[in-house]
Amino acid sequence: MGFLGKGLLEGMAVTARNFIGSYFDKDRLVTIQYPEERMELPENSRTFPFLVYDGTPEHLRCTACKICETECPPQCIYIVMDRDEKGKPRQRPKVFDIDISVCMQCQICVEVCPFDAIKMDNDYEKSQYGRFNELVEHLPDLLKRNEYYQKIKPTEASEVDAKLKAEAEKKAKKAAAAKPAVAAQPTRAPAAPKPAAMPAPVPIMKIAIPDDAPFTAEQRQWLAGFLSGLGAAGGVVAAPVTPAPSQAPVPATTTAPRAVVSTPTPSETTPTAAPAGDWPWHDAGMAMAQRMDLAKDKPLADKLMAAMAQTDCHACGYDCRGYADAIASSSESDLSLCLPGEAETASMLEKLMKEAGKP
Amino acid sequence: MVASRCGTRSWITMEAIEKIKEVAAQAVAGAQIEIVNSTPAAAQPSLLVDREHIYAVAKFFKEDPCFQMDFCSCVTGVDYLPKDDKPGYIEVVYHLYSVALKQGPIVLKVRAPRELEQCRVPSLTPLWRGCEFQEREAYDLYGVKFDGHPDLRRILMWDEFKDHPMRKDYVPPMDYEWEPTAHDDTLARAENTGGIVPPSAIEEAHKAKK
Amino acid sequence: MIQSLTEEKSYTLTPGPEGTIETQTLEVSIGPQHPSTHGVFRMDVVLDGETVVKLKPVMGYLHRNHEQLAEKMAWLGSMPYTDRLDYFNSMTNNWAYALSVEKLAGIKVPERAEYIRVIVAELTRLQNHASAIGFLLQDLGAWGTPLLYAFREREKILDLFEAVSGSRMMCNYMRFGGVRVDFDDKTLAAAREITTRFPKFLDEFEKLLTENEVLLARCQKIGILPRELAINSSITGPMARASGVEYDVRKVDKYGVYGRFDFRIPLGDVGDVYDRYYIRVLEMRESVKILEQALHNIPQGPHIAPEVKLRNFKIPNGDGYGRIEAPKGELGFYLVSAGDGKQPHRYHVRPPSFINLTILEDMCLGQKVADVIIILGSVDIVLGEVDR
Repeated sequence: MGFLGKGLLEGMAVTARNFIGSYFDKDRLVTIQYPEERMELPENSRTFPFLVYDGTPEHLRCTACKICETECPPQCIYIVMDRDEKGKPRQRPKVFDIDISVCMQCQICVEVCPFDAIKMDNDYEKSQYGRFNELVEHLPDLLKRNEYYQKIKPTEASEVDAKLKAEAEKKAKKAAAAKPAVAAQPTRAPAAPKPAAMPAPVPIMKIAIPDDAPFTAEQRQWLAGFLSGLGAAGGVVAAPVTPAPSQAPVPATTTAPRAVVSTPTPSETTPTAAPAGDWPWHDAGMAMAQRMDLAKDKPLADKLMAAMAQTDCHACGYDCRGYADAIASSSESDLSLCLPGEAETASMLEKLMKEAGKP
Repeated sequence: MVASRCGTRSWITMEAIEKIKEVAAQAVAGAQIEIVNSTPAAAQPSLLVDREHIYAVAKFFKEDPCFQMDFCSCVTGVDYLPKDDKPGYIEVVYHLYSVALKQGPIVLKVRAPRELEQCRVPSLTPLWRGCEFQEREAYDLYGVKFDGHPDLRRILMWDEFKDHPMRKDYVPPMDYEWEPTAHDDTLARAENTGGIVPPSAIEEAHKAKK
Repeated sequence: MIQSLTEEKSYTLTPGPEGTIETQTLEVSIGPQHPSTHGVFRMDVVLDGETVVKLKPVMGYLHRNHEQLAEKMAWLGSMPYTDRLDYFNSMTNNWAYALSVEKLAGIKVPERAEYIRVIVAELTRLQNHASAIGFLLQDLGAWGTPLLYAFREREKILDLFEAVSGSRMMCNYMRFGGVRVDFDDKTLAAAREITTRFPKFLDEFEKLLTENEVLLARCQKIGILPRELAINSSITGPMARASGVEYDVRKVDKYGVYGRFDFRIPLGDVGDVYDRYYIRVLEMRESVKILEQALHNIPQGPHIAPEVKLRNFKIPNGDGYGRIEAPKGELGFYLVSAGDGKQPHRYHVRPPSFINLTILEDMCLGQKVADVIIILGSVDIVLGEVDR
């Protein structure tokens, strides 16, 4: 066996091997000198959420359906739906606050969002000089371009883009097949002039060092972080890098699902180009009275569907048609599940069920 | 003989639990044991025993050579509020396993009334030392007093704490110091969803600070 | 407010013959702010010189009301909170909760998801045991050397967790019916590389520690836990197996696909601190074996049961207890579903660290105060689990 002290000597040999080896072997020295060096994060890495927009900040994917707010475990999201002068919901958020001192980066908001509107960022340098309001991110801070999302998470973003494109094509095909009158289509294009009452939010963008600057990639990354940190303290604010103004025709792939953002004028009382042929009321921009009017001679399930918010957001656990069918067949007894429709939809559903004689 | 009496399984089927109940009821005179079902998928029916005989029934399960439940895995308190005309109760659930025979669980439940003075249950710590901390936790959080426990005092809350926080009708006191957080209006809105702090209390706390 | 322990029993020591010094016992509070109590944990110790006469553990400094929070949230909403229970082993915490819900609701998990769960759970066990040994050595006075060697390996495993789930420690990876994200080929390759290089690290680690005279002198015959007392006190995990209790939930319940793997359960015979250290080394070797088998046999297929809803997920009324072999012991979740079944009526965690502390006093009586620290280190507690 060994003499007394053999274990100690062997242990010291191990320590010496590690110590000397750290000068030669990459495996033995694993320290990264932050902040001069930074680790390259894997694609899936997540820190805090952000909202995705396609093209310009007005074309954000979020419809303020409040599913993420309901499902968030520590309740760190606060959303207020934007409404026009008459009080009708505009399917976009006016207020979208995330308190990042509460957010625990669990990613449940991303999983439950039916519109792929909220995604996880991988930016971890979020230190601020205050503890309270400085750590609440508002809508302008949260909006980031789809290109940014593609840069930080290429595989995920390409899947999402493919999915949205397929959905948009399906919807366009359905609309074109239902109404052969193509003349109705251009009026619903999002290139229509935006109502002046809604000011475009100005995102405070991080500093981006251009690719042709005379720095290496790591130096650029470090400079970007350093200067952004300065910027957050009230220094430089870079203008948002947006493409041509919204008057230009926006590609159909990114905006066809958002075709309902433009407000229909009061003269549009006749049901024109409907997204789905059988359900002329399935238009989230249409008012409740108009939708119920369209469905007034239809069976109960259709009337119930017309009472919903028409966003197909799956807040209730179904799409609009599915929820209406479930209520009509008594398999769903909860009438208050339509989150975007809020109290208006709930009370209309109650009224319809009472009229139909079902409790 | 052992296998024919009770079987050695990891999950208990309905026939097995009926047999177990019979065997226990025979062994302990006067014990009233009922079977409480669980979801069919879970396949974990439990034995509800009355307070007077829970100690004897547990001792039987521990010492009987067919069961040898020498390992008490989990002790839980559950609160049920009064509903319709059914009175509320606090239930203490014991999960027993056997290390010697690699079988289990046998789930024992015992109920006590919710009123603090009458909420007493015999302690099973003399049988299984592992129940000591968990029964202390059930006392701390639910107010169930365990008769025969060697050292019954609060474990997770501090000693001067009042009331028992995990009960369903617990109302937290509003007299502790707190700082305003950025989302006061979120908290105010959360009141509707059964949230934490009512907005009137927030206003009062703000006023008290000024 | 510390209640004086000396009031309960009389500790006056009989004075010796004339001319000797009169002595008294000393009451010391070890913690809650202490570098070696593995978190905010306090022990009120009564000492006669350096020998422990009485010890009372005091906990609750990290009580975050996890169980009550879960009663207010949907079933999925408390999954991220389970990460924070035993914050070293978030994957196994997630698995225990997912298993309990699946048991209660009767959800069947596809095979590939089961294999992925085994792989991440065994990786978690590797990094936990390595860190536990590292922390034990830190308590012994080896200033961080073994700890940082262990952390070097742990970093590789955490990098894999980040690549697959998004976060190094708070993974939130398991869902009811499977896992959130599938393993791609790059991740499998990384897991295979960790598995092939880990035995070499273990050999070096053992060379540093196992026959070290200081370790042997300080850890052998210290904090002995007899086998019968361990079973009676509901001790589980490596601590129980070091005392000779042949009970591993992976072998008894065979949850997941553990029935398919060939691995042994190492057992100790003395039950002292050294046995608990060495059991962890042996368990790491067995985990490497399981990992090799799982990585070799992992099938293709879906990574989550498709019929499980993320939102408005309801469970029929009933109660159930699901448990797994977490690296620290038997981690169980007792869930009661009542009413509409959208959130738990009762959600209870059976924490191994909390229950393993039951016989801390018995193990420490008669030992020196320096031994109390290493006995606590060998129990391997995490306060997030003890206090929830």
